[in-house]
Amino acid sequence: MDIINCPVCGEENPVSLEKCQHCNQLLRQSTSELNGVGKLIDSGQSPTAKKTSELESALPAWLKNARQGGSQSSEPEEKEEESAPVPPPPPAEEEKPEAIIEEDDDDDEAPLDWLAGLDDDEEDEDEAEAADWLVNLQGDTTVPEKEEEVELPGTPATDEPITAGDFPIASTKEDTPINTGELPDWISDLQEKDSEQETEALPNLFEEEKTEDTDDIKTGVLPDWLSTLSEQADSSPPAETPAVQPLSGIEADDLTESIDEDEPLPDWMTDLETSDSAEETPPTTENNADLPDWMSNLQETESTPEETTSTAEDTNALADWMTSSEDETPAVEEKAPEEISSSLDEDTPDWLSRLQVDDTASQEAPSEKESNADAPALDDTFSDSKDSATASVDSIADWMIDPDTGEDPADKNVDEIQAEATLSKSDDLPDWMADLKPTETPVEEVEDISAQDSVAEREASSQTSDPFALSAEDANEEDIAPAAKGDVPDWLSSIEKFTNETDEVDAVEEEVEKPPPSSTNEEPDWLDNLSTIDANTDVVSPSPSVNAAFVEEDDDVSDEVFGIEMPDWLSSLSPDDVDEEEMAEVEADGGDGGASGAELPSWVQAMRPVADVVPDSSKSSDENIVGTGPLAGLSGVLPAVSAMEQIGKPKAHSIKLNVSDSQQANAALLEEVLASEAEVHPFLAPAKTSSIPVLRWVIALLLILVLGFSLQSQSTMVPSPNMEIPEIRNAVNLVEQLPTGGSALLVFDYEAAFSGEMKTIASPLITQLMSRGQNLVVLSTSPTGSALAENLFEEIRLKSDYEIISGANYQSLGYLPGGSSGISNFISSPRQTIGNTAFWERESLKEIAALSDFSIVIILTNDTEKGRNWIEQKTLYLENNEENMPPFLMAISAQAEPIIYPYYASGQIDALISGLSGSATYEAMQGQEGLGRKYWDAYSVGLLFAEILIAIGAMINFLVAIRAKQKKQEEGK
Amino acid sequence: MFELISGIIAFLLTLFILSYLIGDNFLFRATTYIFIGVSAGYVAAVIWQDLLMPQLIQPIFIGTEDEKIRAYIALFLVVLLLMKAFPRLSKLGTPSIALMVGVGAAIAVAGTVQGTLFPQTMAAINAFDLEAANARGTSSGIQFFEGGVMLLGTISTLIYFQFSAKRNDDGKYRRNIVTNILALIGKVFIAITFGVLFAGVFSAALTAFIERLDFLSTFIASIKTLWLQ
Repeated sequence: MDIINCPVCGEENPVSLEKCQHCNQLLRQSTSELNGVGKLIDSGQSPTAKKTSELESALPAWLKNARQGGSQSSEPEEKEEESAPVPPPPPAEEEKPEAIIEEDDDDDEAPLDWLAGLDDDEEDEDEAEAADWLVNLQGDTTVPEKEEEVELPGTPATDEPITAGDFPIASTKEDTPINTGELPDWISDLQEKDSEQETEALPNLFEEEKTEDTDDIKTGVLPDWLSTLSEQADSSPPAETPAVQPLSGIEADDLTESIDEDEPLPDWMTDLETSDSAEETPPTTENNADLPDWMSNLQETESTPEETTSTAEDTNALADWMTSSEDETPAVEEKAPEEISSSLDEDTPDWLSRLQVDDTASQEAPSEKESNADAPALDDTFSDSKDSATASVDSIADWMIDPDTGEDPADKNVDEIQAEATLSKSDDLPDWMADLKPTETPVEEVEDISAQDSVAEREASSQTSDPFALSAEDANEEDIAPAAKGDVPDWLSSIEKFTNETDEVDAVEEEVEKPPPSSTNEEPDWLDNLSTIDANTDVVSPSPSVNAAFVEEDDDVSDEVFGIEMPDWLSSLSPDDVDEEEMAEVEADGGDGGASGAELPSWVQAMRPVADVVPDSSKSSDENIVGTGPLAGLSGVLPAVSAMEQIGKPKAHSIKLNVSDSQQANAALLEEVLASEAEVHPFLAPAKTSSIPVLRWVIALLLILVLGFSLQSQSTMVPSPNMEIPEIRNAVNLVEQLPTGGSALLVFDYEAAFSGEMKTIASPLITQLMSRGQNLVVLSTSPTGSALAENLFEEIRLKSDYEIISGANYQSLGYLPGGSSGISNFISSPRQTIGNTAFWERESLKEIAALSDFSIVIILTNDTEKGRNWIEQKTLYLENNEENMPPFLMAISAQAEPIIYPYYASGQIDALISGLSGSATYEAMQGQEGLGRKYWDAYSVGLLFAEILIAIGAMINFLVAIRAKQKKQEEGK
Repeated sequence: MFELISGIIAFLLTLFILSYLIGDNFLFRATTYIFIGVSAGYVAAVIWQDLLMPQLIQPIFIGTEDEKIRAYIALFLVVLLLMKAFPRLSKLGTPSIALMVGVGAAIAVAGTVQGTLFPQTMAAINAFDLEAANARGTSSGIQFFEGGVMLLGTISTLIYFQFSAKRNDDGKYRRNIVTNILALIGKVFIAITFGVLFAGVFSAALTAFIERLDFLSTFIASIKTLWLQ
C-alpha cells in the first residue's frame, strides 16, 4: 500500500486519502493552499528574508513526493531528516555552500534530485496535469551538455559590459508564431507585438540580461541549456546565427536617443533601464514599488554578478531563498552549469528562458557590461538569471533541497539527472518531463532515443502551435532530427549557436567588439526592442521604445508571436497614457495602486519558493483551484473575485456627533419639556362656578336701585358741573357765533346702542343750533344714522319747543358710503358725492356747493375710527387747499374721548363735547336743564357706586391675595 | 297709539336685553336677532334708497351722458363684485375688490400720515411752546410741567413697547437699567390710559344704562298715567 506523508504534520497516510488522518489537511496541496506559509508579495516589494527551511512543510505534495522519490536512494543522514514531522531544509547559509562545493567535483553525477523525484512519482497529479508551458520550459532548459565548456575559469564577464552598440544577432530565419496557449495572455501579446516590430530596438534591459548571461558563461557557470546552445553556436559564426533580431547599433542609438528626448517611460520600465545602467542611477525602491514583481525580477536578473554580490549585502530584506542564493554566489560559480541552468529554468518561465538564451547572444557587448560592473544594486529576478552562479543559488531555494539527502538538487551532476531521468522515463511520465530528459542527456544514446521520442512528440504538438516546446535536440544539432529542427524557431537556434561561442572567452570578447549584424536578424521584434534599449547603457531616462515594444498598437502582430492576449492593464499602458502626473499620483499612493500583490502573476508565485509566495491559504478555497492548464492543481494562483472584493475599503464614518452649545441647550430644554410631560401632575378640580351669578345680580341690583333712586328722586343731590372746560366753552362760543340761517352739517356716525348717550350729548347742542336758526343738514356714514337722527329730532321736538321738520329746517343727505374715501370726496365736493340733485335743489341747500359753505360741521360719533377719519380727511383737505373751513365741532361718546381729545389739543378740531359730563357742562354753560342735568345725579351716583364697588373689589382681591400668600408661607413652614 | 305700541315694544325689548343679567336666554337672543334683522333690512332699504337708486339706477335711465358712463362703469364693477358669490367666477370680482381696497388704503394712509402722525407729533413738540401757553393765559411753569409729563409719557410709553434687549450671562434677555426705568414709567402711563379708556367706556355704558332706566321709568309712568286715566 502506497503511503503519502502529510505535508503539514508529516504523518503517513494512505495514498487513496485526500486528507490527512491526523491533521485533516489536504494531502495533495498546491503551493497556494498551504496555510500561513507566507503572504502575498506586492509588486515592487522586496521579499523578506526568511528561512525557508521552516516552511518545508508547506511544500506541495507532489514536490514532497518527488523528494521522497529522490531520497529513496539517499544516505542514512537524509533518513534522519525524513523522520522528522516537518523536515526542514538545512540552513542555506551554512550548509549549502559546502554541499555545493563538495558536489562540484561530482558534477557528472549531479542530477536534479527533485526532478528525479518527480519522475519517480508516477501517481503525482501535478505531473499529469503538467501544462504545455511547462513542457516549453523543458524545452528551454536545454541540457547542459558540456560542463567543461561552461566552467571556464577566470573569465569574469562583468569586466566586459555591453555597450549600446551591442545587439543580439538576428536570426536568419523567420520566427515561427509562438502559440503558448497556456501562457498568460499578456505575455502572448507581448510576444506577438514584438514579433511585428522587427525594425525596432530591443530593450536595453534584456540586452543587459544577455550580457550578464555572457558573464555567467565567462565565469564558468553557464547553464546547461545554454551550453547546449553554445555547442550549436560553435558550428556557425556568431555573426551569422544571432539569437535575436536586433537593429543595428546605429539605429538603436538613434532610437534610444529619440526615446529619451521625446517620450516618457513608465516607472516600471524606467526601473528596468535604471537597473541596466546601475552605475548612473541606482534602482530605487519607489520605482520598484510600481513595478510588478515579475518585472522586478526581470530587473534583478539583468544585474551583473558584481551587482549581485553588492546587492546581497545591501538587501537584507530579501527572502531567504534570495539571500541565500546571493550568499552562495562564490560557491555557485564553481557549480556545474547543468545544475545552474536546470535550477534557473525552474524559476523562470519559458519566455524568460528565451530571454536568457537571447542574452547569451548579447555577449557581443562587453563594453556595456563594463558600464554595469559597478552597479550598486540589482533587481531581483534578473539577478537570478543573469549569472548562473547567482542563479543557481537564487533558483535553488531551501525547499528545493532534497530533504532526504540534504543536498541541493542542483548539486547533482548531470549524469545523475540523466540517469534518473532515463530510468524514470516511463509511460506515466508527463510530457514535459519526457522532453526534459532528452535535454539533459544529449550525450548518451539512451538519451538520444528519448530525445527523439520527445522530438516526435514535439512534432506532433507543433501542429498545435507550441513552439516553446523545445527539447534537447534543439540544442544539440547532432542529436536533433531534421523534423525537430524545423520546429525550432530560427532565432532560438541561432541563440544556441551563439551561446556555444561563449565557451571561449577570447572568442566572446572578439564577438563583443564586433558590431552586431542587423540585416539577417530574424529575432522577434519585442526582443529587438528590448535589446536596443538595453544596449544604450548611458541612457538613464525612460526609453519609450520599451513602451513601444510592449504597448505597440499593432496587437495582432504581437499576438502572433506570443499567441496570447495582452492583459488590459498592459495593453492600456502606453507612454502617452501614463504621464508624469499619473505616475506621481501612483507614487503618492504608495506605488501599489496599479499593481498590488493580488496582481502578481500567479505563475510567478507558483515558481517561487513556497515559503515566500504562498498566500494565506486560509483565504484560498477549493473553488479557486485551477482545473486545467499549466496551473492545474494550484489554487489561488489567479486573482479571484475575492481579490477584487478587497480593493475598496469600507468607508469609515465618524460616530462622533458634533453638537454645538446651543444645540445642547436646546436638547436639554427638549429633555426638560419631555420630562415635564412625563411627570404626573395632580389633578386639580376646577373651582365650581355657581350657575346663578349672585355677585353679578347683587351688583346689578344695587346699581339699578341706586340709579333708579337717583332718577326718580330728582333731588339734584349732585350739583351741576360748573367747571370751565375749554373745549366745551369753545363749543358754546362757536354755536353762539353761528350766523342765523346758516346750514349746520350734522354727521350722525354713532350706532343705535349708543343712542342713549349720544342723545344726551347732542340734544343741548341741537337745541342751541335750532335757537340760532340753523338749517340742519344730516349726513351719516352709517346706514342707520338717518334713522337715529330722526329719532333724536323727534325726542327733541317732544321735549322742547322747537319744531324740527324734515325738508323745512333740516335735510337729510342720507347715507354716505365709502368710508374714508367717501368722507374725502364729500369734503372736497359734497354735491358730486351725494349726487342726488333733489336734495341740493331744496331751499336750504341751494347755496351749499362746498364744505366751506356750511356754517358749522358737527360730528356726532361714538366710534373713534369714524371720528378720526373725519378729522384726518378734513386736515388733509385743508393742507391741500387754502379754502376756509367751517368750525369743526365734535360731540362724542365718553369712550371715544381719550382718543379724540388729542386732536382737540393739537387744534385739529375746534370744540369737543364728550360724554354726559360734557353735555351737562354744556347745558350748565348755556343755563339750560336738559337730559344732562337729569341724568347727572344718577350718573354721579352711578360713578360713585362704581368707584365704591371697584374699591371694594380691589380691596377684597388684595386681602385674598395676602391670605393666599400667608397660606403659602404657612404651608412652606 | 302708535307711540304706545312702539313704547311697549321698546320697553319689552329693553327688558329682554336686561334679562342678560340672569344669563344668556332666549329673550336676549331673540332681541338680538330682531335687532340684527331690522338693522339689515333697514340698511338694505337705505342703500337702495340712498345709494343704488340715485347713484346707479337713475343715472342710467335719466342721467346725463357723463352720469351714464360713470353709472355703467359702476354697474360693471358691481356685476364683477357679484361674481364673488360664485366660486367658479369669484376671480372676476377681484378687480372690483382691488379697486376698493387700493383706493381706500391710499386715502386712509394719506389721511393717517398727514391727519394724525404729523399733527400729533407737532402737538407733542409744541407742548413746550411757552409763548403760546402764555398767549393762552397758561403759566410757563404749568405749561412746562404739562409738556414734561406729556413728553415723559410719550417717550416712556414708546420705550415700553421696545422689546429689544441683550442677553445676559444667565441666558435671560433684559433691558438696561435706563430703559427699564423708562419702560416702567411708560407702563404707568399706559395703565392710566387704560384707566381712562375704561372710565370712558364705563361712563358711556352708565349713561346708556341710565337712559334705559329713565326710559323704563318714563314708560311705566306714562302707562300708569294712561292706566289711571
